[in-house]
Amino acid sequence: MVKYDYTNSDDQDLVLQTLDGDNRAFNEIIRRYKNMVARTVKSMLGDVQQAEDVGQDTFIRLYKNLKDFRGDAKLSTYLQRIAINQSLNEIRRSRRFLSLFYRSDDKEDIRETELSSGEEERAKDIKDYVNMAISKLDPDFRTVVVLRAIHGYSTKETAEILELPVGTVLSRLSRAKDHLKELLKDLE
Amino acid sequence: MEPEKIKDLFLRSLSSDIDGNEREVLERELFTDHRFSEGFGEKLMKKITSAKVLINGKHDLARSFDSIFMRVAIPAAAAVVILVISILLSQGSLSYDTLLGIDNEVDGVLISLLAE
Repeated sequence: MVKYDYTNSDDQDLVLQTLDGDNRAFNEIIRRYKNMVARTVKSMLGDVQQAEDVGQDTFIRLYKNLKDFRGDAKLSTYLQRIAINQSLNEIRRSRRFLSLFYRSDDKEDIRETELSSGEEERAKDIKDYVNMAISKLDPDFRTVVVLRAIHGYSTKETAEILELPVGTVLSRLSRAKDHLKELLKDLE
Repeated sequence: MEPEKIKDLFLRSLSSDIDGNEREVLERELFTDHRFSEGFGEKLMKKITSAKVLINGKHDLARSFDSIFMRVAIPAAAAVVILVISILLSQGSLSYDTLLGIDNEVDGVLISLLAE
């Protein structure tokens, strides 16, 4: 039996093959985009078990709604949109749950972090510090930071993924930047 | 890299386009850990194939029948069990006639009705 090489297929072909019942084509979609989705959900939620579950739900949702994907936007854009929405849903869900038990003081948490003296530990501390600051942002601001700074999308692309006007994205970026400056002011 | 420089690069990336090298630095310094665990893809495919995840709900109708069946079947089974227990308690024995709600007297009535 000749083994079909999916790595050369473009996204649209993989979608059509999956719709024809070929799950190996969908496996190739997962292989291509799992790191992108991981970066989105882990930046939005932190490195927690829920992030893996949300990652899985993102691909399952894509699989279930594959017929609705008409190819107007790139598959990666469509998938990013699902990943962001799934992450926001998870944030809302856990916020509702956590709010039943306690209220945290965001600034207190982050300022307690002190950088280690060793080079490797220090690099890890900086990474944790910045990621913690991102996680302290309001979800709407966090979303634009993740797409712009972590994925490197342009403002226009970010607006397209979030289905928002460019002006709204710019305003959220500016406010997120101000908030991050404040949160990271002790990082020197 | 100095924390101050990483911070500046990160904040700058929010408002302006940074070049490829700077992006590489930013990713290496801040976002390299963002990966799913080993076997993420395999687990996901297993879930998709074994849990009958269906494209655009192709067989959603069958799935909803399944859930309706379960909702109806469990109370129905419980009702049968209650019926059997109540017959056993009231009649002291269990036969087809008692289960169907027909006693011996009904046979005679039926025969006489048919004979007429």
